[in-house]
Amino acid sequence: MTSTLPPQASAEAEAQVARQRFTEGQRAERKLGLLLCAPAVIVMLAVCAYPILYAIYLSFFRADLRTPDANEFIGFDNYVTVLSSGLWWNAFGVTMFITVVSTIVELVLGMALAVVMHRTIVGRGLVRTAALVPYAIVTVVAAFSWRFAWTQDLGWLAGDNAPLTEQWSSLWIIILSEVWKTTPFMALLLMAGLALVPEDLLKAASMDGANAWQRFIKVTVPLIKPSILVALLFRALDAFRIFDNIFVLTSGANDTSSVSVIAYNNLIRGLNLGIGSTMSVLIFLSIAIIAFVFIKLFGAAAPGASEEKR
Amino acid sequence: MRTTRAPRARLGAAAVLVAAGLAACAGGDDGGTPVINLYGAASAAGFDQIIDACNEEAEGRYKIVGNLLPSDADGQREQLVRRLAAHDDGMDVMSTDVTWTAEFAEAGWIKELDEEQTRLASEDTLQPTLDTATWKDKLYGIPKHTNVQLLWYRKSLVPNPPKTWDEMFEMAQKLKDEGQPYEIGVTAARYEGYVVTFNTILSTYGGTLVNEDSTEPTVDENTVKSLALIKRLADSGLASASLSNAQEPEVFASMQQGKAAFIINWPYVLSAMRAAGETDENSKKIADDLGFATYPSVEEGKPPRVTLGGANFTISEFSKHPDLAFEAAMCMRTPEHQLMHAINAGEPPVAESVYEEPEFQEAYPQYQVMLAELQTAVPRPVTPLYQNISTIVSSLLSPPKGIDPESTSEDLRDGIQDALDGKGILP
Repeated sequence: MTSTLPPQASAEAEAQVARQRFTEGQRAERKLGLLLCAPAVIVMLAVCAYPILYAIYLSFFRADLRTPDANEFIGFDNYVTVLSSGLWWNAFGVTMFITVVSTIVELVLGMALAVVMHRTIVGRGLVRTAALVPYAIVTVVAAFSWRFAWTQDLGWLAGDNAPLTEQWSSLWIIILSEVWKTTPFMALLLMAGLALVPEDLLKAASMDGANAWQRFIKVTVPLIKPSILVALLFRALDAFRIFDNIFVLTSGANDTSSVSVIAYNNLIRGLNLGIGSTMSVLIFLSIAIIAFVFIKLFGAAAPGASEEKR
Repeated sequence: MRTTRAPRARLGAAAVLVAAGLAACAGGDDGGTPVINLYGAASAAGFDQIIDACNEEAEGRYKIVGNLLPSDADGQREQLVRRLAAHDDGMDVMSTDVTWTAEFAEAGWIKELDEEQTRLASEDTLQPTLDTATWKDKLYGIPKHTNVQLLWYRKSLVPNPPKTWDEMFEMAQKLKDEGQPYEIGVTAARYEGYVVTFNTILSTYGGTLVNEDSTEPTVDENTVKSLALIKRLADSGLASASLSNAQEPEVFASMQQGKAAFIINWPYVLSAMRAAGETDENSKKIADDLGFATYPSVEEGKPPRVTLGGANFTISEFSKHPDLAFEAAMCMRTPEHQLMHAINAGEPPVAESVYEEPEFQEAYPQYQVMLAELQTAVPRPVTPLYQNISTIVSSLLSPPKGIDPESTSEDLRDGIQDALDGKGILP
């Protein structure tokens, strides 16, 4: 990261100046600012940091509410148990599958929807509102609608079949419901990016003989790459934690559990705090890795980063 | 002004209502009369009458308030467990499933009954139902209602009901050859009901899954024999093609649709079939043809040991009025109230005396078979880790066709050992 040195150096110089200008009054103001922040920080520590640390602590113990007398420190045994369990890896595979497929489908559909919303001239408000409706519906309510629609002899989509009783058909239905639900969110983020594309550039490209597809791929996409990355990151993190859709649609039957569902089953239903916390920590780590990969690998190539260099 | 005020007033009223609702939920002791909060059971048909009767009888010493829980057993357990783990003192009496006793007792969430209470709770109560409320030789619950599965069959097809599985297979095969309805229906989907089926067969052979203190698995040749029997049923071509998806409703339906000659199911079958018969000619025919008999045994002369269903009243460790809670629970399951409950809600009584009431015998013509089964019935594996073990059993034995008696029993032993060591992972 040597290339980021110049802006850092200049920032340091600015800070030097700022320090020199620091008067008593400003220092007091800063103190007041910190004081005003403090309650929020304390609350955040209490509701975020403490549970995270406590979960990490519990993951090193045999801790089961059902057998309180047998609780003891067991080091990494819980991690060995979870990581050598077929159930965990199955859930992990299911989660990755849902994350990758649904994020890609959402990106494609979301982009199309964003372009439509961006380009619509007649009834713009109506189009945008209509497109956002699925996102505004509570996930559990939407999931119940999907479940009934796909229930044998009850739903109009299922007919005589019972697709929610088999693994693969269940997974596709989960993805469908996830895509239907969050494509508008994707579209919203991408539309914000589209608004930043200067019309002149597109017109200039058009003058140079680029057709609509070329204009989109060569001009629009590179310009809105930061928006795409942010949208992908948000959706990937969200999709990896998928819980409510699966909980309602299959409750994890037929090997359709995601990592969150399996963690919930062990922690809340099974009362095994040790194993459940271990799973939570592993989910936390997985999400951290996904975020890291997005920011470090893709983020470095984003035009936003190179802009700063100029 | 008026137009803006109206909604605000409505909002205010709503807020007051919500607040009142919350206060009612908390079940405070404002009125001076101690409130006994009952969780579970309260939503059963006609149970409000029992609560009212007990409140009247208490003459102001306590007031039972029935609180609602989710309708499915897992949802109920989850809510109770969350509150108990948080030491919530707003629960006094709980209706707990027979399989939760060891778990709740070992966690220190439910009160052990003292000597006098044990005596009162055991009076006129069938011993096997007491076993479901016992953990490490101490009684933790007051049996509330019970349940046992029976063999239901078509009288026109089967003149003498089979006494053993062997006989049942023979009869079914004969019916099949004659082109008559022949299917044998049992619950064998991957769920709790499959564990009930397996546990009954295993117990009838004389086997168990865990030892008494729940420290190690007791998988032996009885386990292998039981697995072989289920495998035989699955491979015989006499079970429904959807055996691996069969829960109680599917089993019931196979009888209702005239495919099954034999089904193993709970006592509700008769009343449910009669109810269906009121609107459906075919169901009526089946209901009139429905016979009942003792659960088939594994060999002649050996009585079957049927798995108990049902629930117990337990007293929360965190209750502010444990003695009154016990009194209230006892009132809600007096023989008289058990009879009311059996007739209103279809949940069979635990008091032997109720089985002699003409009113009960009229509603449950199968009472003799039930009583005989209840005398020798067995609880499901009594262990705090029942949830895990049940999951392991139902998943390892699914689908029934995939069972290999020897290797499946090895898997069972390993799986149960892992669960007992705290390494059991729930799917």
